[in-house]
Amino acid sequence: MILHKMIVENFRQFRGRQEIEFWAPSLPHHNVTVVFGENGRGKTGLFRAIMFCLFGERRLSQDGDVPREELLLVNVSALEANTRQPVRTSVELEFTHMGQSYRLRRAILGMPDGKRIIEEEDEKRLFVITSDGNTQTVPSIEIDAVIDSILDRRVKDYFLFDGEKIERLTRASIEQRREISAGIRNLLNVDALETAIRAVGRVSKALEKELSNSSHEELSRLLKHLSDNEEEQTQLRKQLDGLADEMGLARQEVDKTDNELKKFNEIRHLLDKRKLLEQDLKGQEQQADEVLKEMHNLVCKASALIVSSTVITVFEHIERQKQKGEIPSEIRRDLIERILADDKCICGRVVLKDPAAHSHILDWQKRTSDVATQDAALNLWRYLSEVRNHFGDNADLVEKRLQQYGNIRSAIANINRSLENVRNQIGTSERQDATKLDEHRKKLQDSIITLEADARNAQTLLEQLKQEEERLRALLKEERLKVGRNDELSRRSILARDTQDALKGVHDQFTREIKQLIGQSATQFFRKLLDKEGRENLRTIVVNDDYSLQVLDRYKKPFLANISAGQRQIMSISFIAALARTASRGGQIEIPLFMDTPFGRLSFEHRQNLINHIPTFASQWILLATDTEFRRQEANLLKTSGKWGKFFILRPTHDGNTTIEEQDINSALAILRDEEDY
Amino acid sequence: MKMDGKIRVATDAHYKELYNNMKSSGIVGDFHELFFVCACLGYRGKKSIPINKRDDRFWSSTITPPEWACYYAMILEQNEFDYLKVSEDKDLLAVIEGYANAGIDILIEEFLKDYLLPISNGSDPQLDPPCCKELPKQFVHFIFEQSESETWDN
Repeated sequence: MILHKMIVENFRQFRGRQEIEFWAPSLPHHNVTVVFGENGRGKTGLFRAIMFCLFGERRLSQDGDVPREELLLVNVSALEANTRQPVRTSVELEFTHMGQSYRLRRAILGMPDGKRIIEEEDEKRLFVITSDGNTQTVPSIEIDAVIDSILDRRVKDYFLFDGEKIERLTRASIEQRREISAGIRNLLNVDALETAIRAVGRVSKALEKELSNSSHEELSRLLKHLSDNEEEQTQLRKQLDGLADEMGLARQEVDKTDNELKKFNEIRHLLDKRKLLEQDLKGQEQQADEVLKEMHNLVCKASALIVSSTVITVFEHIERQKQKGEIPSEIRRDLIERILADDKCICGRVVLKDPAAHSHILDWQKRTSDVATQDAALNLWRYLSEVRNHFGDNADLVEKRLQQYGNIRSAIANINRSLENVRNQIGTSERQDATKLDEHRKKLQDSIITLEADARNAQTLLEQLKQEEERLRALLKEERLKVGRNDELSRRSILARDTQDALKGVHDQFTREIKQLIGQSATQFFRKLLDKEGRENLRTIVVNDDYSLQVLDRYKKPFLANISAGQRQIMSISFIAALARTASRGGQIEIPLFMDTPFGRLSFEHRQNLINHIPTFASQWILLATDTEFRRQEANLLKTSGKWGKFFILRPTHDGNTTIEEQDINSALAILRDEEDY
Repeated sequence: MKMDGKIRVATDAHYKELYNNMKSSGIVGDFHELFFVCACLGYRGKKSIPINKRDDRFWSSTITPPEWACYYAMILEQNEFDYLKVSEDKDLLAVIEGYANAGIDILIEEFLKDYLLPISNGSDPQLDPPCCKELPKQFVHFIFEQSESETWDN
């Protein structure tokens, strides 16, 4: 299939009638078209228009669970301008296939109904242009069959290379196996064979059930085990399907969240800064609370300072008393009192006869105090000494704590000022939702990890059950021979089981060979598209029996876990190209390849290889690119390849719509920017 | 000067709530600490007010040795170092209670009034919790400001 021209009328962003020519008859070998535009201008909308026209599909695989009412095809501006009038939305596609030309037109009518908009099918017409230039109309009822014979609707999604989809193909997961399996089965059209296997399986099961009711005890036991085993396998497969569905939904939600998060990229650094400031603020406030809680320990220490002069005065007074010998007194008070009472000194002299000595003794009496008072005074002296000695330290400690608290408060005030500033820069509360989205995304990733672990466990269990089934079947065969149950029922049962096994064998061998073929073909593409370093390390793509993709290194060891995102993308493109080549029976890929944001993850050498090789093996290559990935360097390469035919720019209009503007390739080079410009 | 621990120390019943509030808000660790602050303020201001209605507040066993030492020093200084005046702890604490009773008025007047619920017709003073978030720090700051501005050379 080669797309020639598409005319869109009031289709999504494209108001009025606009056309895009993918292939010019005057330049038949220029099979590359570049559609260039910012995000949201309608690049994917063009692919959507093709899918709508070919298959009547309004939803692409990447739309996930976006509600239908958000996937309107009718141009809303046209609808608003045509109050109360229906607006006709149509897409017309001109293409050739196997030398035959076709013109397909599909239209709907969009009309408002209260607050919602209704879209109703209006027209579906296919014309075949014969070699003599005449036009034949294909009957409406046959249109879908004709289109399916040109491009099977079941494989259509493979030919829009969406970055995320490509990435998903190389993930070793149930989803990946399911996706690859679906691709291969659609390609092979093995549905009929699979239906036959299921039907024979049902017959076989019914016969075995009948047999188990009437046969020998051991035979019956084995058949029962086999039946239980099959039931468990069925349950596990259902569980695996359920897990794959859940993972699919979770991944769609991650994609959706990522798209939402893209809006916040410009303020991401501010959000990070706000997070750090908030953490810092929390830490400082905790510290302030702790200092505040400990503050009461300082109350007594600080209070003693209020009476410091009293403490010092009393301390110094006692100190002086000590120095004078009054505390403790040199002569004991009870001794003096005894001398005065006896009127006799310890030397035997009569005291009253010497007035001077008597007067001295009276002085001593005044200066001495009782023992208990002296001990208490000495104790007080010691306590006051301690209190006095700590005045300096306590004053320093109190001052330091107050200062520390002041510093923390001042830091809190600074953080609050910075926070306010950052919050003002971030703006509305809606934008602040980015952090919530981040958390939501993290939770989704965690749940995907859990689901993957569950799926691995279920898969292991399934493998064990399969081995057990094989063992049981072998035992069953022996038992049948042993008990000689070669009656009609037994023979029929064996025949049904053998038929099923034979069909499975055919199916398995066929798909194995096809997988090998696709693996070989994918390896050829892979080796061409990889950069030099990649070619040295990575040798072979293998489609495993469980439909997972693997890449082997030069030592034939699995290497998938270690390859880069760019190499993963190249691997997936190679796989899809191989799939398409196999579908085309080994010739040129007869399906146009659409690549949406094709170069995002790729190095320049990878881009160079894609640009050099894809136009040689694809019948048509349509690139939907943004300015950050399709730059002057890529454009120069494409121009040099001699395959670049058309260049379109999607430009915004004043009313929010998009116009398709064709530019010649030379002016494209003037419009595009160099890498240094970024 | 035995640092007798068996004496009941009283404050005026009028300040019961305030004592309780100051303790429960963590502004002081125990009643004896607030009593000590008030006693220091009363003594420093040379003011003593007899307790109108006695309300036992704490046991003297909770008074720390440095606090006892300060109380003894106050009484000795006030009584020209007459050791007889400090010989009976019960008598001494009765004098200190008067200083503490005067001191709490000073504390309210000079500092706490901004943190109290409005007082009407002689109602008992009580802390106003919403105003008290930073009170522990402000309280220490106030006490520190009251300390005599001398250098603490030993």
